[in-house]
Amino acid sequence: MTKAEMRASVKGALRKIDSTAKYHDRMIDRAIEHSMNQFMYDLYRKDPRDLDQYIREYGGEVALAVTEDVSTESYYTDLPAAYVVFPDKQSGVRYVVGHDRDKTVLYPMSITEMLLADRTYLGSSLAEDGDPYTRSFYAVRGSRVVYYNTNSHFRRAGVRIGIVIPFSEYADEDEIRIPFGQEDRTFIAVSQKLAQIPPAELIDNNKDAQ
Amino acid sequence: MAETYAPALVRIGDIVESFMAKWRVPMNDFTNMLLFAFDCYRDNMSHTSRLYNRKIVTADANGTITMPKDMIDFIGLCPATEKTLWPSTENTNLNPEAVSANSDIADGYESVGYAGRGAVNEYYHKIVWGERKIYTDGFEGQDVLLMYVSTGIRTDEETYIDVTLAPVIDAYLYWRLGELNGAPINELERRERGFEKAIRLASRYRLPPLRSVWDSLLSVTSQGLRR
Repeated sequence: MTKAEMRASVKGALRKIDSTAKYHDRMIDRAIEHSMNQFMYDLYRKDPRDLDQYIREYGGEVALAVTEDVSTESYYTDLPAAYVVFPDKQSGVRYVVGHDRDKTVLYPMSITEMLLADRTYLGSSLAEDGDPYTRSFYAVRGSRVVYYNTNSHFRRAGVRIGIVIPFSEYADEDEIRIPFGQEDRTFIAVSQKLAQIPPAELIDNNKDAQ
Repeated sequence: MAETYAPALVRIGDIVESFMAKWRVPMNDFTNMLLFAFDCYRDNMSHTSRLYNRKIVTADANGTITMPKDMIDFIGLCPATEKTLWPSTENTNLNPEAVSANSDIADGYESVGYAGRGAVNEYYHKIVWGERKIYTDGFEGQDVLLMYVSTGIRTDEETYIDVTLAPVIDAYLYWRLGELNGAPINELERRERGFEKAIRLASRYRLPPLRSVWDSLLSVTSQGLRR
């Protein structure tokens, strides 16, 4: 089902109390997004690896650039899209892979771990100064991913990133994968949410105090 | 051309990746698992490993040797230039403050005793762990072959591990993963027993305890009577 079809099916099922366009598309989209996020979270709680089915990859054909932050001497990539937030190190950025010859797979790390890593074996025992690192890491920080232990050829080549994006990031013609077995629940949850909003015409104008 | 068989030495990170793939552990836990694997390997090197390092170091003019930074335990000390490894004898009576550039202990009479005859010692040492020094008598200014137990964790490349140790690391990671994920205490105890069993099996078949290595090594290199 495409995003537009999904929105239309919700819209078609809402009560026709008012002849005017009572439910704006963006309002419906937002309601769907909240429900979808909830189901994604349920999926994550069950098994985080199940989120692989809902990842959209960016930088597949044209690599995303790795940029240097000169002031902190660190490297980062600005994320090309918003992500659904999950309570783990990766959040909605489920993987980062280099475009280099080795197709370097990066491991997720929390910001705290990154701060502590230099004093652990992660910082001292995965390569000597000047030699290539055998393991590289990334941490999700706001709208960017920051890197730890990266090699120059990896940084030159850029990355591709797999992100679980929210409903609002999809285009109208994009196919939406509703979490397995959750079609009905999604539909009902969205309808119930929107049904809570009273039509403007039903305001009680006879009340004593306005 | 690709190798015919899987290598016997495996990078520590590969063991962790393999463990995570087998047990369907999310990538999220890789950094923690890798650190646990380092701990497991280091502890194994300290307590049960059959592996030891050999390094040629030069004793200073007074015969004093500074321990390598990765040295956990001492195995032996021999002259580096001899074809036969003649081990130095520990002498706890050696006074580090008084050792000088000369060989100080005259041994001629001590070669005769109740239990044997011969084997005149030329090399003595005394280990002072607090200072991480080995004071010697007889090695003044010489190259010395130091055999010792290392942490085993490399700082110049990713550590390679004997694949026979992989079950021990696997069992250790499985146990620690349970702790990370809040497994109940009886499950943790079950996993701990699994880890201890893996150690026993490794010790029995492939990894004799350090003391056995030590005895074995010295028994074939000792020239005779040891005091």
